[in-house]
Amino acid sequence: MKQKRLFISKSMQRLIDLFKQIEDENIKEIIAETVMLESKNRSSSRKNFPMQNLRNIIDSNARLYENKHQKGN
Amino acid sequence: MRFERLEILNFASYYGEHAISLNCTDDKPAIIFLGGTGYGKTSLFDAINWALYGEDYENELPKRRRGRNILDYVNEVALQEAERDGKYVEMSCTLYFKHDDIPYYITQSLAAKPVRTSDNTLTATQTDRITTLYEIDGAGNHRKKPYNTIFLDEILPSNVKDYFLFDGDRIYNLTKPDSSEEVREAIYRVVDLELLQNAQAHLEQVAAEYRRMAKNEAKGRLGDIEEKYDAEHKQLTQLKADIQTSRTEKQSIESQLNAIEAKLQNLPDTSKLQGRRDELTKELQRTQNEINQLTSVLREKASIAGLSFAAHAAQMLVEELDTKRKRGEIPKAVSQTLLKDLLKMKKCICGTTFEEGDPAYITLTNRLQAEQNKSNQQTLLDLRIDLGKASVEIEQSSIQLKESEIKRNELLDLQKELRKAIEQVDAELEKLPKEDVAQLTREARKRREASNSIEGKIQRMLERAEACERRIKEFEKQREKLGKQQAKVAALQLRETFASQAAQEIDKIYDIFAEQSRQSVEALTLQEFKHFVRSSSAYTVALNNNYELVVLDSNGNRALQRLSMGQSQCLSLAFITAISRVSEKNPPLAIDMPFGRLDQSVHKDVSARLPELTNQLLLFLIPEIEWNDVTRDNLKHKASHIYWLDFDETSRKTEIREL
Repeated sequence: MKQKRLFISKSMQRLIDLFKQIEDENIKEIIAETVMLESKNRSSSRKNFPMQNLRNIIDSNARLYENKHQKGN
Repeated sequence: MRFERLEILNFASYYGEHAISLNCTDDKPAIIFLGGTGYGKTSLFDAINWALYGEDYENELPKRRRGRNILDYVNEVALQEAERDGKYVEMSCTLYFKHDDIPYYITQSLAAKPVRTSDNTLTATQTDRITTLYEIDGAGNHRKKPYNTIFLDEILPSNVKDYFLFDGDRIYNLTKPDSSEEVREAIYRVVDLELLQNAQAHLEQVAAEYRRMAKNEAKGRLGDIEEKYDAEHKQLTQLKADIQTSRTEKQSIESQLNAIEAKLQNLPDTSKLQGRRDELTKELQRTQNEINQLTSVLREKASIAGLSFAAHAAQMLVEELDTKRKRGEIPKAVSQTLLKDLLKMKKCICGTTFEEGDPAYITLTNRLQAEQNKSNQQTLLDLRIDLGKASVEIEQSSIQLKESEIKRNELLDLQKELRKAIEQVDAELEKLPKEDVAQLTREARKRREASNSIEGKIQRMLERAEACERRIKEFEKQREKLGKQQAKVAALQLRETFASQAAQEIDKIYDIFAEQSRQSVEALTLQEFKHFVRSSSAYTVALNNNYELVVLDSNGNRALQRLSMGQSQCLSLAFITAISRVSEKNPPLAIDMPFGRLDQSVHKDVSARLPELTNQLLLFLIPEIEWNDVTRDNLKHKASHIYWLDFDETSRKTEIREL
C-alpha cells in the first residue's frame, strides 16, 4: 500500500527550527503535541476544540517529569 | 491536489445530470468556462466549493451570495416536476480529485420537498442531507473514508481556501487603503500564525484552570500566595488584551492617516507642502532612531563610568600588587591536589605510610596550608590583571559618555527644530484657501494626535505588564518553596507551570515567525508584481509593520495613489499569488471572473502570467469582455478544455458544450 508522504512546507520548517531552540525538553514536547492537536483541529470552532486532549498532554508530561524526579531522589 | 471531474445533478440552472472533465496536462494547465451573466459560471464555482466544504460553505452562502441559501440552488425545473409528480427532488455535486497521487471523490447530496408558500411561490424544504468521501485504492476498490474537517485541513483548510478559490472582486478590494486588516488576516491564516495564536490561547486557558485548582486546594500562607498569583495573572491577561486592542486601534488610525496624506500629496495645491512635510517627518524619524541607539549606548557606558569612584582605589591596589610581585611574594601556583591525595592515602611520595599526627602527616598538612595561601595570592594576581583592565575601561567609558551626551543633546535640539518646522507646514496647509485641503489637514492632525495618545497609553500599559510579570516571578519562587509541603498543590503547580511556560515560549516564537512570514510575502509580492506589470520597475512594494501594502517610488515616497487602476489591481493579484506560494499547498487556482473589473491595460500581462502560477487553473470568464482577443491569444494554447455555457431562457436550463 502506498505510504503517505509527510510534507513539511518551508514555513513549517521555519517554525520547527524556532521550536528546536527551546531548551526545556518538557516544554518542547508539550508545544510539539499542542501544535499537532491544533493542526488537526484547524477548522473546529473554538467551542469544539478538544480541551481535554490538551489537558491530557500537560498531565502526561507532568507525570513523566514527576516519575523521573522521584526515581532521581 | 488536482481536480479530475465534476458531476452535478439538478444544481442551480443545470437540470439533470452533467459531468465535466477537469483533467489537464502540465503544459496546458488551464480549464476555461465561458458564459454570459446569469448563464451558470458562478454556479459551477459554487458547486466546487460546496462539494469540498459542504456545510461550512452553506453557512458562508448568505454573506457571499446576497442572502441565498443552499436550497435556492435546487434546480427550478426539477422542483416543478417533483411537485407535479408528488416526488422529492435530489440535488448533488461530486468532485473527483487526486491528492498525493491518490484518487478521491467527495459528494454533497440533499433531498428536497417542493412546498408552496402562502404567496404561491414554489420553494424547497430539505428532507435529507448526505456527505460522503471515498478513496479509490490501487486495486480499484472504493473505500469509504470518514468525512471530517481533519482530512480537508491537511489538503486545503476551509479558512485558507479564499486565497485559492476566489472571485474577481477580491482582487479589486485588497489594495484599498483600509484593507490592511484583510491583508493581515490572509498572512495570519495561510502561514499558520492563526494556529500558533490558538495554541497559545488554549495553553493559557489550561494554565488558568490549574491555577484556580491550586488556589482552591492550597492552605495557610500558600493559599494567600496562590490567590495573589492568580490575581496577578488575571491582571496580566487583561493588560495584554487591552494592549492588543489599542494596537489595532492605532493601526486603523494610521491607515486612515496614510490615506489622507496620500490624498493631500496628490492635490496640486498641497503637493509641495505635503512633500516638505513628508521629508521633515522622515528626518524626524531618523533622528529618533539615532537618539534611541545613543540612549542604549549611554545606558551601557553610564553603568561602567558610574564605577569611576572606584577607579582610584583600583589603581592603588594594582600598584600594591605590583610591588609584591616584584618582591617575589607571589609564588607560582603549585597543585594542591597531589598533597590532598597523599593525605587521603596516608602515604608519602617516597612510599612511606603514616597515620594522623605522625610528623609526615603534620609536614604535609602544613605544606597544603601554605599552598592554599599561595593560591589566594594567585587569585590576587588575577585580580590585579582584571583591575588593570577595569580602570582603563572606566576611563574610556567616561570619555565616551561625555561625547554621547553632547551628540544626544544636539539631536534633541534638531528634533525640536524639525517639530517646529512641521508645525509651520501644518499651519500653512491649514491656511490654504481651499476648504477641502484645510479640512483634510485638520483631519490628518487629529489622527496624528490620536495615534500619539494611543501610543502613550500602550507604553503605560506595557510598563504595568512588566511590573506584573516581575511580581509573578517573585510569587513563583514563594509558591515553589511553600508548595513542597503540600503535595497535591505542588502537582497542580507543576502542571500550571508547564502550560504557562509553553504558552510563553509560543508567544516569544510568534513575533519572530510573524516577521519572517511578513518578509517572505513581501518579497514574493514584489516579484509577482514585476511579472504582472512590466512598467513597475520604478516602484518597490513593501508590506509594512501594519500589514499595509505600500508602494514606494525611486525616492522612497508613497506612490500607491499614483498607480493606475490596472496596476493597482495587479498589486492585489500579486499579493494573493504570493500568499498561495508562501503556503506551498499548491492546490488548483479557481478564479471567478478574474478580468471582470480588471483594467484592459493589464489583461495581456495577467493572462500571460496566470497559467504559470499553478498546476491547474480554472477560469470562469464572460465572452467578449473577459475572453477577448488579448486574453484568448494568451490562454487558448494553455487550455486543456474550453467549455461554453448555453442558457436557454425558455426551458430555463443551462447546457455545457466543449469547444
